[in-house]
Amino acid sequence: MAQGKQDKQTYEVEVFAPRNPDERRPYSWSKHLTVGEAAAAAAPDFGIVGGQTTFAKEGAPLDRSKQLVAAGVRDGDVLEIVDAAGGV
Amino acid sequence: MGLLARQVVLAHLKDEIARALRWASHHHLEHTWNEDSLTFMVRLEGHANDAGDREAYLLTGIFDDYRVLPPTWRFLDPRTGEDTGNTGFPHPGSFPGGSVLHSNGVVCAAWNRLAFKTAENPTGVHEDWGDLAGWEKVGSTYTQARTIPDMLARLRAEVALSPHRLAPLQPLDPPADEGAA
Repeated sequence: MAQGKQDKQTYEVEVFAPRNPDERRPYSWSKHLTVGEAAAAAAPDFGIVGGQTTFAKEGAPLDRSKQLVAAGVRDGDVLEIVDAAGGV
Repeated sequence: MGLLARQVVLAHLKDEIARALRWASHHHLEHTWNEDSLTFMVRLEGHANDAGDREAYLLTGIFDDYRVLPPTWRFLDPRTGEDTGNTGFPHPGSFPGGSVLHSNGVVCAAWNRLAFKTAENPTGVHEDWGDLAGWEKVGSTYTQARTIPDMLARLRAEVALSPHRLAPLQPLDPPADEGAA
């Protein structure tokens, strides 16, 4: 029996950086990885060093402390790297 | 008088503005780049209320003396393009890590010139960030956006989480001849 999308433990997603939206890179992550860990792993691939990165899904930023699945990421999503360190 | 010759600034901007234009197009955001005034404008959309209405925002960045000095980011009245202070500004939302939208109507990030308290900008919030020219060295616990598209993406994400405008837009003045009949 085929594995349903909800049963998948690994998400295949595509990530891009604002500085080059045409360059999408594929990643395969456990859905239990935190958003912050996944974003930190991907950021250097796009030349983003330091800071505290997260992902934005359809423009809205995701909580770095949440697991991908809890933050609303789904298999096949396209995610944008966004800085998430504090202001003010 | 600026610190850098116009051609030097344009040389710095050539690649980054091209990328900013591509970023805005990618997200289907209405935008303009004025090379004469070194001004980039983009229209964003956020929440207006809990009923699901939408609020229009007009974000502008001015890039004189970039990258020696950071850009100047402002939210303008989306109807007129005028700087009307808090009425153009999104209320800070629950941004994970802390919002850069300050309750005084300033984008509070080291990549915004207006966040620095200086002789030219005495209403700036941060005198603890040192000299404007050191904007790229402000502490790593603060927001780090190294390119113009990075800054735009952060501000778009901030607007996406903003619950409403910081202050209501004021009614526009009627045309001068209205009611004269």
